[in-house]
Amino acid sequence: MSKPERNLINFEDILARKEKSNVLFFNYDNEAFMNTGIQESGGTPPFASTTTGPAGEKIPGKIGVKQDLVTPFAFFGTKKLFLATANPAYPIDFMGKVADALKSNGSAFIQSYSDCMRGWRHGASDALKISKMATDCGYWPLYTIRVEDGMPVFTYFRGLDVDKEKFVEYLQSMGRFRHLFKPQFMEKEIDEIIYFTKQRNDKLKGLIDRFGTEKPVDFYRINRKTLEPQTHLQPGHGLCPGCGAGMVLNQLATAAQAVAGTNIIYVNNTSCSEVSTSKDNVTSWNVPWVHHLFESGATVADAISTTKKILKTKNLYDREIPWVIHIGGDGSTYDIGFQFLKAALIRTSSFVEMNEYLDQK
Amino acid sequence: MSIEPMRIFFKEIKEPIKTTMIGNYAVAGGVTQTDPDVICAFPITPQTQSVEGLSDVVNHGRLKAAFVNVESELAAISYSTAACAAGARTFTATASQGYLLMTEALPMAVGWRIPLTMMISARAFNSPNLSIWNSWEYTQVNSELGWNIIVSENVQETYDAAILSVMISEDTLFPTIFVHDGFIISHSVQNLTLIPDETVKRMTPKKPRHIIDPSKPGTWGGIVTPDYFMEGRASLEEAKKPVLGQMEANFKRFKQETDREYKLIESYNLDNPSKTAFCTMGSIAGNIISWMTKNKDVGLIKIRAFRPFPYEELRKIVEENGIEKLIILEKSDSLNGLLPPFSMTIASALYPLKTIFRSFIVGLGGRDVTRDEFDIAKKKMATVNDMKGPLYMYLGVRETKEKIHGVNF
Repeated sequence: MSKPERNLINFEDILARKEKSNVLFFNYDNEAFMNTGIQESGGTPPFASTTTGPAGEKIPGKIGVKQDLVTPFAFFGTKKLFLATANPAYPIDFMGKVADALKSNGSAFIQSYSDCMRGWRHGASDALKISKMATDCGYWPLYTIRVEDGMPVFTYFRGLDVDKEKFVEYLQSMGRFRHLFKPQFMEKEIDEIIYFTKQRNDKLKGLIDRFGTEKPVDFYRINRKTLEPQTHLQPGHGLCPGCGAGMVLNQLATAAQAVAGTNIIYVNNTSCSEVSTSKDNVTSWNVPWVHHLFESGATVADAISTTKKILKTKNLYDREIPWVIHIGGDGSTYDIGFQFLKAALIRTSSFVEMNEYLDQK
Repeated sequence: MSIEPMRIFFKEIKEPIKTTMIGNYAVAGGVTQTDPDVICAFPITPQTQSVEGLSDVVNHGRLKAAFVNVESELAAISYSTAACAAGARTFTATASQGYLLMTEALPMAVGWRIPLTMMISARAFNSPNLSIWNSWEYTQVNSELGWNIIVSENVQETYDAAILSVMISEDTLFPTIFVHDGFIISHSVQNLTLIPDETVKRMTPKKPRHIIDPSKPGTWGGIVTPDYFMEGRASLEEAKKPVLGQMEANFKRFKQETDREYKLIESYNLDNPSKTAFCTMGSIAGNIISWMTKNKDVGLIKIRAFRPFPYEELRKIVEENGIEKLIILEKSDSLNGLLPPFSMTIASALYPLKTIFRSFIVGLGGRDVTRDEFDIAKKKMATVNDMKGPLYMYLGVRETKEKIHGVNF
């Protein structure tokens, strides 16, 4: 079998595009309710130990599945949508996707891996190593779905194949899976996590086959020398050392700044990134930042974006329409906020057309 | 135009027009005249025609606005709050269960000082059964969150309230709810006089305010520690103090422009021999006034501004007119042995005056409040001379298959 062809995407080319997203919905997935103290969520993988699903003598951690959040969005009937998974251990791919999403019409959802050293029980210095391993072992495949006129096009970067040896090493590197290895090796449970991952990736491969393209591998290229350090989020926030959300926010803001400059509004669900960057009178944000409720961020982001557009249509707003990014995490996307995310994502892939109707003379 | 009653709002209204309409369409028309930028709601009976009417004026080109259908009332209030905070004049509407579902987001609208307006077509909460008909659910929950609440008696009042609420919200920078009784007002055809478009425009200018925008970066709704939280709450309390005055000023302005006069509290026939007055809100007031044509020995106090509650005004009215007894009628109950919520408000406002009162729970879930019930309440009150024993009772509950009347004290 010949090597699949790469689709090279230059960062400069993305920036030169005229397209613009309505809202980029972004979920940093740390696989539990971390801000409230490591409680189990829909994003928690099977058999991971949490404070509401601890590894006990009878029940070995979470009973259930990790919900697959990204792929189903391609089949909700949206017209134009950019969907992707990301991992801050692959920063070029990460930032390329953020810029690509912001510079695509319609709306976008990116789900990023986000290490949590406290919740996953490992040393802070292992964060990057573990993040990298997650994609390399097949647990966190990096892929993109571009929905055009309702039809999805699946591409990927890496991580589709499960490497059993690396996978076991990945599980072993974190305290939340320790009970699967000590005092005895729980083969059945480990096999089940691997099977769970494989079947998910197999479905993904099938979708890439069915809804693929001639150059199935997306490969972003960024000249890091010309990339400005971000100024949206100031240093001095209260995230833990080695926090994945810190890496995520930094890379997210770097790409967003390259696209939007400071003409941007962030909306944050209640989460670690919310409580640790907005405290008291010492906000870490240099650009407008809004927190409303645990679950409502996606709706709020949509409302802000829509408001600026309708005001512009009515000649009540003379600035350029700002970019809007919604950040969710800590289970606010998987669980309590899912209804809001789903509805806002679907709405924002059609409002441009509604505004066009209103503009007609 | 596809909704016939909305036709009248499609042409410019140049002179006051006398017409007939149901409460919900009247509200839709009034809101249209205030030129909202964003309208966002989730359907719930009996509120629906108000937003249907608005989608009609938007989709047929009378009003330029984003009309957004969302997935729930919590999304509707979140959307409306954010849209308003981002600079849009925004309208939403709900009732009953929808109001409960909105609850989580209601305090943020107050905290962010946004001039959002919301209509409530008052409807009972589901318990123990579903009822889509009128009760005063808005008095039972959320009334202490800081929203302004004004209550309307008839279609004219609710149409005027749609416009007044925008004036009051913009002036006070607090969100405002205006209420009419579900079905009794929302769905009944009554006479009203429409205000010319130009007059509404003059009364409701869009004023500059602090909004979420990159031109002035800010952090909205972040976390604060115990070091800061109380100051935030106390400053809201401080900001709330002038609201009743601002409401009155807007009522005055409204009178100048339309010749229709509203007060925080309206009273009728208080100079009566029995020194007794009914005290209530909403559509019951109209019913009592018609009953009073043959019952001139009792007065009426009608609360128009339910929140903030004009307690000084009420004390003044009761004191200056020498009212000794109040018959409080309300469409909500209290299952905990304390007074029902409207009576609780009246009782605490009048505590220094030690006015004698009894509270009658009437008309729950849309049951008609009849003139017979006013007779019974008046008769019962004539024998009450102190505050001993139970302070409230149900009136109009079916006792046997054929018999509906009050139970004994």
